[in-house]
Amino acid sequence: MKKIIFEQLSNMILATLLASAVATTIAGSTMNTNSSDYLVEIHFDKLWLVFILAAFIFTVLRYGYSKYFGKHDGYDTKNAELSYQDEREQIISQHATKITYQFMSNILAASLVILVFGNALTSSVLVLRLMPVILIAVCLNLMLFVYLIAWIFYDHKL
Amino acid sequence: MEVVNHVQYYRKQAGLTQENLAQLVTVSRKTINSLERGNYTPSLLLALQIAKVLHLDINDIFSIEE
Repeated sequence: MKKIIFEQLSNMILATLLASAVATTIAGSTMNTNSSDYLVEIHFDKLWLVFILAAFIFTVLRYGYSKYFGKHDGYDTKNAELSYQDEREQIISQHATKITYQFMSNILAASLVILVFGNALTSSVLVLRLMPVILIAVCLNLMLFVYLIAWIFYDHKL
Repeated sequence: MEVVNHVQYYRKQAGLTQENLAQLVTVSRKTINSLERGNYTPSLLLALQIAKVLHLDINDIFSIEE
């Protein structure tokens, strides 16, 4: 169970950092198509550096975990959250994946509806530009969280 | 139909702990514990491995209850 908590928490932190970095780029970038000079300015915030740094740290931590602690609980960097120690954990992983898939179908459908009616919800251009990023980030984090909770639930049940 | 097992009884008779048996059949201790409590039905492969380690016939350890 520790490996799944470790993996999912690191994934959630990275997903949030990536979404934040993308959001700052979208918010800070400008595009001018009115004049004859087509001008696009893409702004990269410090958050990108934080994200790259965090990704590097978590990669090192994953390798460290797989080498020292993960040997005993079946963690490997290739399978990540789908790692399993034995057949029981493999079944738990399959159940958790199924629950996550079912949840994601609903949450993605809800996101599409929010995107469609986004114009009615706000008049801010910035919010409209950021809305897809926020929705994808929320969906991604929810998916990772649901998998974690489902895994813990079935680990206690089975 | 339900699969019932006598793993705990035969394991104790063999003088093995859950950890020992888990190591012998290369699963986690939690899997053996879950199996003994009847929460988890093992695969045929694991059932055969347990029977082999305990030097018993698979039918002595696992049976179907209707």
